[in-house]
Amino acid sequence: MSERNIKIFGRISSLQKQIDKYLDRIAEAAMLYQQLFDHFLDHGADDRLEELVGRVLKHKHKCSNLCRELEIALYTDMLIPDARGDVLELLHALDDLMDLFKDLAVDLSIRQPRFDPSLNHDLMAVVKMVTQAVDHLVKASRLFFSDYRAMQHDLHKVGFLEGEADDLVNKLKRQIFSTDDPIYKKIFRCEILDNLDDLADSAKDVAEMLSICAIKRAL
Amino acid sequence: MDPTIFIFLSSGLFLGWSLGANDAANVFGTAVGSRMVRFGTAALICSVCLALGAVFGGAGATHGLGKLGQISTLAGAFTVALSAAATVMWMTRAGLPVSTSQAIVGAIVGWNMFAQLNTDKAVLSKIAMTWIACPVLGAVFAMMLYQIIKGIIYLFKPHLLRQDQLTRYGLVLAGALGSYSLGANNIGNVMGVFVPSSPFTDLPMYGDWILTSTQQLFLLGAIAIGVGVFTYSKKVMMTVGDNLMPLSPVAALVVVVAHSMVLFVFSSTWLQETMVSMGLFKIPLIPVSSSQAVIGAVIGIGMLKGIKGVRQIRWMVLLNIAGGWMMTPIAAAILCYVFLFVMQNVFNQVVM
Repeated sequence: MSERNIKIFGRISSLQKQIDKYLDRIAEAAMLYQQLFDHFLDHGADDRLEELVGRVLKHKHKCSNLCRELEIALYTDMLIPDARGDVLELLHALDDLMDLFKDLAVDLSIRQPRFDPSLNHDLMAVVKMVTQAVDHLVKASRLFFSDYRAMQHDLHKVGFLEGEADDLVNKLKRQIFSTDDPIYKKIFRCEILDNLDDLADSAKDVAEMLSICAIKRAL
Repeated sequence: MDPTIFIFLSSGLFLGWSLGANDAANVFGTAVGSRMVRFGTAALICSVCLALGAVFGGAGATHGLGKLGQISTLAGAFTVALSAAATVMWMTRAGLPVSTSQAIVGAIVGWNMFAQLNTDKAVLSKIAMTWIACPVLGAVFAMMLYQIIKGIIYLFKPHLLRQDQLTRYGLVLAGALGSYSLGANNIGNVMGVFVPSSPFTDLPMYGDWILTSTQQLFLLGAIAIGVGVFTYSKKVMMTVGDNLMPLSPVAALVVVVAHSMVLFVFSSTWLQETMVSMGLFKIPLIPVSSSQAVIGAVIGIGMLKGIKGVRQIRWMVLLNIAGGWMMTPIAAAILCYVFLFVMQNVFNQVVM
């Protein structure tokens, strides 16, 4: 086998690893955000929270770099010409999700919303649903590259969790607006919930895009 | 050697050029069109393998074509090849899909008519039957191959990038085999009519190896085909890819392999002898249309996908193609008759 062929084989393996690493980082960012939100509800804004926000930012930065490297590699090596557009769209959509995670983390650290402790359980449930939805999306994305026929299960879960998160967010909003707090505080707290809901919506949008990509990939 | 010989051979070379420009697209069109293989790589592999196929495997199919009509004069061969080439060029310019094999068969029938010789009905019907068998066989091979490759992909679940890489290698390998088969099968179209009046003499090469006069003729034809590949096939390759139906790279690979298999079936003396020794039927060794094989294979894949695939096939394009298949031999026969009349009565050439 020629040196060039060995290089190409090596290049493909390295790109596969890069894609896996990229997806790992997104799944990790989701877990970090869950940890961060849990910590915020229990301890408020402290040094540990700032450390967690810093880690989310670092993940976001690394993800953006990986996304750019993958994009350049796919174009310069003229790889997967038929599916390149779909793959790049997926990578960018996942990068946008990372952006939302970063914004949510920074938002929490800067605005430090005060929620009634009685809402903590439901708030944490929403965060868990959102992060689980992203986790299933990452699993489905991984399957898209190897066994696209098996990803429907995870895509279905993303849709289900988004719906559940929606319902819970509405319930929480009602609870927030039923208090005697000033209206600006109520709106402010609801904004935080809306941002979480947006993240779940985005995950669902990416899942829908992925299921179309799977139809296109079908042999 | 009389240099005027090359003037007579020029029509064959012209036909070779148009075969290279058009039929190379059947082998590498889907690969280049989908940007899986660079044009330069495709053209080089295609030209080299085509020349090898023409020189070392071209005799079988040419012999089959010779049974239809033995054109014994150079002027006659020139006119027959010119009529076929003109038909190919005229129909290509008119945007009609064309088969070089059908054009040359039509032209030979035109020569037979002009020379008031009876065309062997058995041979003609055998050739005409391959025009039906070729796309049908292409479809059957494509359906079988597609199912096998699909099964392998589902079983091993390769990463998208790895699948892409293996498909790329497969396309290059299948393209090389396809080019060899195209050279072996279709060189008869280009130079077959010149074989009985070949101006070359056997050339001793290395040791016992002799480059026969026919092989030299075929090599010349293969060079003309190669020039056609390099100079004009890119445009055709870029459009042939999804002309009839959008194809995935895996489907493109299946189409090229199925096409190569069809051409191999109709040009391999080894396969013919093996079939006969096994007591099975004798496969006719005749130049067949690579376009028909490709179209059959594409339709085969479309049908395999059920209603979704059938709806993806552009049926109007297919009707157009079928119309072209019917028109080509008739047009070539008429044109050849007219050209022979002109050659004999205006240029005073002995054409029969």
